[in-house]
Amino acid sequence: MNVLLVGNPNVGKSVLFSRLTGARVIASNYPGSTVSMMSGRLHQRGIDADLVDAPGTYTLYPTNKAEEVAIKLVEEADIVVNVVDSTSLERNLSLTMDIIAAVKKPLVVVLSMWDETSHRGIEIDVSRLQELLGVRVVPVCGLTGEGIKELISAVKKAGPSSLKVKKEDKWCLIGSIVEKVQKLHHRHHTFRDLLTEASIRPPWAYGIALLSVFFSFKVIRFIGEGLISRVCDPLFNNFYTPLIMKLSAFFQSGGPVGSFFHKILIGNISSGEIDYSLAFGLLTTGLYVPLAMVLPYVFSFYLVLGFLEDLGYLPRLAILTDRVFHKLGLHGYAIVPTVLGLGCNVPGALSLRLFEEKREKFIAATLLAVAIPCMAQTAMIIGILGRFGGQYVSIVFFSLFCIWLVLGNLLNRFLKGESPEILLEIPPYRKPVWHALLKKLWMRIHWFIMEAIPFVLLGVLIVNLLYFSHIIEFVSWIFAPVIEKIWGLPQTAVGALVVGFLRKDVAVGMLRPMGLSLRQLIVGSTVLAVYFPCVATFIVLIRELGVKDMFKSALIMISTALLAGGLLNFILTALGIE
Amino acid sequence: MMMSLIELKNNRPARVVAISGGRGFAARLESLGVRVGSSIVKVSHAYGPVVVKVGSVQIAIGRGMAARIKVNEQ
Repeated sequence: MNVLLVGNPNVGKSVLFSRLTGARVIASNYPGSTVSMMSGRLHQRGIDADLVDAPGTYTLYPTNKAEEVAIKLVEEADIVVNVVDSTSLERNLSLTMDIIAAVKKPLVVVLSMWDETSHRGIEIDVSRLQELLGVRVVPVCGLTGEGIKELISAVKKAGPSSLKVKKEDKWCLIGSIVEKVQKLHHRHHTFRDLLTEASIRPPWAYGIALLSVFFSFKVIRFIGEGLISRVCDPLFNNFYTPLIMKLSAFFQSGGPVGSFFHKILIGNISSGEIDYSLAFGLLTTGLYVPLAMVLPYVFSFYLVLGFLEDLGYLPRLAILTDRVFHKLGLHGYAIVPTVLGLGCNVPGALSLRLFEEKREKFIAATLLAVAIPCMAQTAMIIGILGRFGGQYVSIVFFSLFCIWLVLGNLLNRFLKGESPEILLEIPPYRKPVWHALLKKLWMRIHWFIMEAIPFVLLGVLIVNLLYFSHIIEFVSWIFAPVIEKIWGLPQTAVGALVVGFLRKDVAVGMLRPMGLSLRQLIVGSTVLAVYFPCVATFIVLIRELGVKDMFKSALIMISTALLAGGLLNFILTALGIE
Repeated sequence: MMMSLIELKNNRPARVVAISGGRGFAARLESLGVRVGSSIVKVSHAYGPVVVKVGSVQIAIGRGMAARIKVNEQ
């Protein structure tokens, strides 16, 4: 048996889905957080079925890709569970009517966000609505789990609606139903209403946006730094270092075989001390980079992002940045892939499905890969350049920002077509719920650990093999003119470019043992961000863009890296930064 | 008096009287609750998209699109 959850975007399908299946899915307070379908097993309270979570759709007449998917799913389902936002009954019932008109399938209507109705002054007569629609109607609060039991028993007894719906008088019918079942009570303006208006209306809106971005950065930096200096470094230094020292002594007494293993596993240790970011062994740098340099920042970034997502701030930011994105051939909702990309380019690339036009997708994908550094990379840039002073970290990010603006403008000018316009529902602010926030954070951290650490270890292993086998000298020799003449980097930096395809954080980490100058570190970090996406992002982008467009995009990335890296090197030299 | 959504002033309630443009455009608007006959209140338009309130829902509409929606102030 196949049960389908279908409803408008951002009505809480994903929360309900994870309640019903126990599966872990990312849910946020903005439309489009589920871009593809999710499926799981609904097996509780005497029911055993496949449960499918469809991407949000407003109608059964497709206006975009996500809606096409949803429609196909409705046709395949045995039982349809239509999730309806009870704070916006009229608009949501439109889809319900479409479903009733299109398919004669057992249907259950879920009134989600039920807890919000009372403090919004909305009163809904559930039994009357049930009578009028001719199907079971169940109020549910997905976040607390209230109503789940009733929902399951309604699914078991579900039947098709007896209502006759004609397309022409759909809105009339909805109007008469809403009038009969819904009562609106007048209530005074709350603080939330005030905040809702202030964060959309200039000039206040810009002040709020600047403050929230500024504080987000401050908090991310504060928590990230704090975790590194107070938790991760002490743990490594006090507990891990003695272990590594013993292992090192063991390998050193083992002749040539021991020395080989020492090189690969532990790396270079000088004068009895370990500098974890210099050693470049699998057990030293290979674990230190992901766990003690990157993870603290990934943690703090996703904590802050999760809060902003659940609060519902991203769509507001989309409105305020719409004009800027318009100049780049996009619209304000491109803020979603951009912000997700700052965490990790892979979810950023996946969310490109929010866009319908090919041109839009191409521009957004190229800008994401070129100018949006992921948190792992950012953490390493802060770790390596930060020791010279925060202003040098800023130079890297300012350069990336300029590249983003200029490249986006050029793409918009020279690619045929026009910038699309924004048309977006702005969800109400919702108070983030702690356990939901932490669950989402844990899912993302878990994903990072499972995906990142194997690749980091592989990256470090490849670094060692490249140097051990002297392949690196051959590759360096080929690329020397570009790397030395244009970017002003030493030949050996080619190793970082090779490894950067695997993991950008390891690649940035490689710059440190090379003994580069400050200018070379800045140019190197910037070029590593720009020249090509990492393999995980690359694979998603091929899938989203197709091979031909990905090839074009890759040419743009490489040319941008050559030009921008060269220009940055020139400017820094002219400014006297060595 | 009929005017476009751009010309309507903030905080003013109005009724949609015409939507010009393709069927796809009208369908997208309708799915968000904006159709001929809908009552809306304009929330903001200073820089970038026009924001309107339809029922309890707020919607951001790009300026080019907003220019094609005609309303009567009430």
